[in-house]
Amino acid sequence: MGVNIGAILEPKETSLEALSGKTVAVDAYNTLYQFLSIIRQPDGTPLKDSSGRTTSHLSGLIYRTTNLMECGIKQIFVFDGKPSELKAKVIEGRSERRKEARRKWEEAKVLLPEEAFKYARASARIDMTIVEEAKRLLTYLGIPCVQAASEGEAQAAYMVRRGDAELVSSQDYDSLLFGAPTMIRNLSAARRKATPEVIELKELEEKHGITREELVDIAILVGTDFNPGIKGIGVKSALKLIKRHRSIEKVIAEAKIEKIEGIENYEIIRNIFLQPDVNESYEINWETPDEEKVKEFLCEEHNFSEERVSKALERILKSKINVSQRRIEQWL
Amino acid sequence: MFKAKVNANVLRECIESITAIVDEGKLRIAEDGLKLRAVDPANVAMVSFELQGDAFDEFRFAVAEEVKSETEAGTESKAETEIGIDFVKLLGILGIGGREEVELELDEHAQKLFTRMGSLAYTISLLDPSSLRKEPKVPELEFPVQVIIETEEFRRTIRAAEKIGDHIVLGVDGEVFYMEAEGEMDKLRLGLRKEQLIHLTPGTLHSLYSLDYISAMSKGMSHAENITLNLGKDYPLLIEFEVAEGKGKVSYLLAPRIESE
Repeated sequence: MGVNIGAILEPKETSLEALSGKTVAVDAYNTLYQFLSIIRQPDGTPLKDSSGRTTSHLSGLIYRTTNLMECGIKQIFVFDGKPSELKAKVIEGRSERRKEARRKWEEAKVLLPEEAFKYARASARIDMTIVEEAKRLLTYLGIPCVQAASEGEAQAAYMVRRGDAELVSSQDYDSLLFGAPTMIRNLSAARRKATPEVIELKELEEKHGITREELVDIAILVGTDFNPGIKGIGVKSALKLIKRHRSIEKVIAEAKIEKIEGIENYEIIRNIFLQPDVNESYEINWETPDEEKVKEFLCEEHNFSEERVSKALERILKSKINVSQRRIEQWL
Repeated sequence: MFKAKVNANVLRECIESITAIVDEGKLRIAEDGLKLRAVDPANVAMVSFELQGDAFDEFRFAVAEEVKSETEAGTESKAETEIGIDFVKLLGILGIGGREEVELELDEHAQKLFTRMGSLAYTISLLDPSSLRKEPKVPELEFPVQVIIETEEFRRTIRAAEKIGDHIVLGVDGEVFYMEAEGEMDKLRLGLRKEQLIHLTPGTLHSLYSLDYISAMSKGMSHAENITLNLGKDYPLLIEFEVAEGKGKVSYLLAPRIESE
């Protein structure tokens, strides 16, 4: 999923403390997907309530999100809107792969238990129920949700450019192509499992001497959520090609690439990244969590441990005191 | 030209006091010794480091001729050289070299630092100083309270606090200095009266700090016998201590975490 340009990026490690006081626009689908694929029992079964409904996403939201709130990090969850037609094809392929993974997981549970987790992860999927439940819990927690016009990452990038947030949080790099000045990965990972890392668009542009437009062309050559890319071209060779020829048009003309299969829609895709549809009228308000509603929803409806939920809520309410890490510039 | 010989343990102690805050930085070399001031990537902590030339068994420094003539043409000539060093790498090399005496020699032209430990020679490529962060300004701070405490007492409390939470309160209540950590489950408090400390300015104030940073600092100060803590209310913490048997001075400045609303 997402665009595979990781190899030319130089992420900088950071810490939750250093992010205290900052506002993050979270790619909600990406984060929910992380929760659904990682928060699982050892045999790969997701967490479930007594009626057999999946609760991995809710568990992730209440416990991991609490961590961030406690550190003074403000979050806005940005949900995908209508996917573009080009993406629909990719999504189709994904659900095929997911079905395959699900079949293999069922097999592995019996035959190769140690492999089961891997296939289980790949079978994770987000449906409307999951999205609705996530939005309900976030609302009870007082965390704002924003509906994107189309791509969640495009919306999140727009919100950072507009100054409503300071970073986009996602595991994918697409938000850079959508023009996010700063993005962060591993923000919702379990503490001490993965270090949060920040990537800045400007640094990337300066390091390679490319513009955002050229970065988008590189991504299209390699393959994005909207096109498969040219077979055999990885991000390093794409970077070389674009640095030499400066655009896809010229790469095709000068490098004499005969088969443009996989990038034939490059003009449309370029436009998706450079001129994305965004929702310009959204509201962002952080509210005090509604303790009763959270408990009713999680403990009564979904069998969460009352004790653990109470503790998480206590931590959030305490974080309302808003402990923020200061920076020393203030005293220099 | 810079050439020096130094005891490996002394050098390691110095480098460890720097790597507690930054992985790399600009080291200034002058006739009277070495200096560094750097801020961590998150801008939360700063380290200032000074080591006198006589901490070395041998210390020779002179500004290269061509550089000299250039600077003299300008305003005040400053007899010092700035080099960019990856301190984590240097520490790794010292780890391999063992307890031998370390010889250092700078090749400014090639931007390399030669190190020799007994029969082992290792050449380190220097970092381009212009790629490193600018040296921070000297903060202007006034601390109402000063506490001098045995390093081991402080470090022991920090180690215990690490098991509890991610932040710690340092404060003074009358004639008692205290450190407090509170987590989800457990709570810790160390209280030391004036007579249990080496020095204490009485007062009533406290500040909250990130334990991640204080833990790192506590590793950097492990060779010092005593440390001086300078405190205020919701104010940065300044920790001072000596390295290289008193021939070097290190200070850490840490911005507080502040509760608002």
